[in-house]
Amino acid sequence: MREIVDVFLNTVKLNLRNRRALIFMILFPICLTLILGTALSNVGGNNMNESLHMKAAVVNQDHGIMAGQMEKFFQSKEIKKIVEMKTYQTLRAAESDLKSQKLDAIIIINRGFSQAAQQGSHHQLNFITSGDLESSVIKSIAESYLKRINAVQAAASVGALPEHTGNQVQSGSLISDHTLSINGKVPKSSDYYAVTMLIMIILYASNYGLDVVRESKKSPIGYRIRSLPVRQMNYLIGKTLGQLATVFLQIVILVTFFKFIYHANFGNQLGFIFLMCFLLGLIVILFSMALSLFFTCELADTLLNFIVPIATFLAGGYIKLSFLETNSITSTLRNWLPNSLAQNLIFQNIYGGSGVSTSEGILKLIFIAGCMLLLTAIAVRRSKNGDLSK
Amino acid sequence: MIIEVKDLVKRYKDFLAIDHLSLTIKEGEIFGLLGPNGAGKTTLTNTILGLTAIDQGTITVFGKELRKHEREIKEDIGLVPQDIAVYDELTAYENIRLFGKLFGLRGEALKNGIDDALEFTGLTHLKNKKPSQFSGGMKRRLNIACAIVHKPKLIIMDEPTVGIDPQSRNYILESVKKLNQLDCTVIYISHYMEEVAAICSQIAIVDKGRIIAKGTKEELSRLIVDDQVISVDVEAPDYTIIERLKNLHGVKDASIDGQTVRIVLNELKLNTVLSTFLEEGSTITKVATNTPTLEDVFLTLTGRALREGSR
Ligand SMILES: Nc1ncnc2c1ncn2[C@@H]1O[C@H](COP(=O)(O)OP(=O)(O)OP(=O)(O)O)[C@@H](O)[C@H]1O
Ligand SMILES: [Mg+2]
Repeated sequence: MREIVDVFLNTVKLNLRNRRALIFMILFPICLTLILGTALSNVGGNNMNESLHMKAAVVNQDHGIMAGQMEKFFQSKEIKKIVEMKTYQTLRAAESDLKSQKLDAIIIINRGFSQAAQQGSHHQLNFITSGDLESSVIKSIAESYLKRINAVQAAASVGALPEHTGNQVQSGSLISDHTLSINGKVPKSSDYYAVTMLIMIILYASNYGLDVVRESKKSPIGYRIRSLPVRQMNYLIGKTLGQLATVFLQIVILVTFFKFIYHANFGNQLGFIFLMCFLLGLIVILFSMALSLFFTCELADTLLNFIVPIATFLAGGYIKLSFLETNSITSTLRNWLPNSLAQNLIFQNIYGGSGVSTSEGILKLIFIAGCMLLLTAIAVRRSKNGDLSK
Repeated sequence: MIIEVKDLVKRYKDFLAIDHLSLTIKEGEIFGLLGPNGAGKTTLTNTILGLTAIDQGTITVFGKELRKHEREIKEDIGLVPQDIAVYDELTAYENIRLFGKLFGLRGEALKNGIDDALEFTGLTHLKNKKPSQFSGGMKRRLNIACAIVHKPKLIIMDEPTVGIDPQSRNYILESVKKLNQLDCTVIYISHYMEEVAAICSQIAIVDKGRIIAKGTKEELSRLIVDDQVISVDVEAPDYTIIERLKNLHGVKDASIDGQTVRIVLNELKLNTVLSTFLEEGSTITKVATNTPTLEDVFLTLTGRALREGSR
């Protein structure tokens, strides 16, 4: 135990003194976020609308007054700027389009919706979503509009809003009000890149994983440590935890910068975001360790230099491309790529929606982390009596 | 006996790195392991520390069987690796402290251990500097300091003087002697004859994974003590001369290096040797007769120079 703590503390200390790596891990994502965020905000009016290409279906099963209002809202110009809304006659048709990835979300107005709304009893919109960022955005816009419409309705019913006649809610004013409430619902490109670049840099933590193997297996220091009365496993655990702690520290610094200085939207649950980052960091470090143990550090380094940008690209980290979601191969990959999973869960946490079930996503990440741990343990065992001469 | 190695075999795939080697080292000794590159010196060290699996044989250290008491045994050994193994990001003090901690030292014992190690290697005034600011010799000394912080009973130094200036070298040799006087057994690995001859009480010559000779410096020299070594410098020496010299009665060995021809004789027959040169038409520029050194012992035993390019 003492050994683990000693090695852990020493590892963190070494990392904090390695300025080059620190600068890379912190300044690189910040610069990229500034560049990508600015470049895209000039083109797409600072909203991600252009690259989001959100597509939603409205299935009106109610046909009441309130439902009509909702439908009108979805067809309004302001909304069309953000989301391409199509009215479907049957749920089945919409569902098949969702499956073939032509839609991001289906909004269902259930039968009895208008009546329940007028009576002031419980009523809600139902959603079927694909689970990506778009569906989260659509869901939260629709829900917030409903909340607003309800508030106005309530005010009107007690006569607080004389300009509304009867149950007729004036949609125009609501929609213009609504543009305000879209703030924080649709990510600005700066919000988007703050998250994706954070995720990307965690992938670069693979260098810290490689470093564990490099030091323990290839360097004179690792050789010296073997000559000490220290259990090799304890040394490896201490070293790995030290690297993980370093990466976590970098994450905290980055999130702090993005949230409080760059004012990117990170939602209200920083704890959740840290948890996702931590899990991803763990996976990345273990993965790169296993890779360099099974192959060589040089080969692992080369492979990772390919894997990291590809994984970032697939997750839509550099640019959000819809074909990544519609193509069945890339979308399956995204479903299991830990960076894509973590990124989606974070977006969903910030912008609402529950396309991917959060618990399922977290379980997937924990499962992947468990597999990596097992893989690394096997790799360590296997290389235990490996060669050493120096 | 501080170390007993019996019938040790270590293979790397098909390559026999240690070839049925047996060795005992007594307490209080400075034991020199001398051998050319690739002889198996480092491999032998690794087996003694349990760092590498062996194919055959038994190893006992401090009277305990290595395999069963590895951790315990390691607590009393200090290894100075052949390559410098210190963290560049840590100061000298921090380096020694880290390894001291990993040897299990805490509190006063740790503090004293660090101070003693620093003083012993003459680095006290540099303790807050990082190795990147050190000369090669200082780094080597720090490399040693990290291995003696826990005051081991046995210290293994794997070529601790490679690539350093003569002053640092002498400093290190002196400190090895001092360590030894403090009841520390030392295994000193080197391919420098002079070093081993200067400080070691016992010397084993290793070649191709075997010990080809063992004893004190005097005992080893006696192996060829009746012999005479002559070096003859000639202009443009010819390899045919070696054959002719070897065929002479009383010539044990002849070799050539640059302009120098080295001849080991059983009896002094300088005349015959020199006339052979003259018959070949060589111009002799210098003749020297030497008493044999360890280097000559090695050369005679193995037919190869200890270090490439030496002699
Ligand atoms: N991990 C390994 N795999 C394969 N062969 C090895 C390995 N380690 C050492 N050898 C071989 O074993 C032999 C002995 O190596 P070793 O390092 O023990 O030599 P040495 O006497 O310490 O040499 P030097 O003076 O150069 O340090 C060499 O021929 C080397 O090539
Ligand atoms: Mg060696």
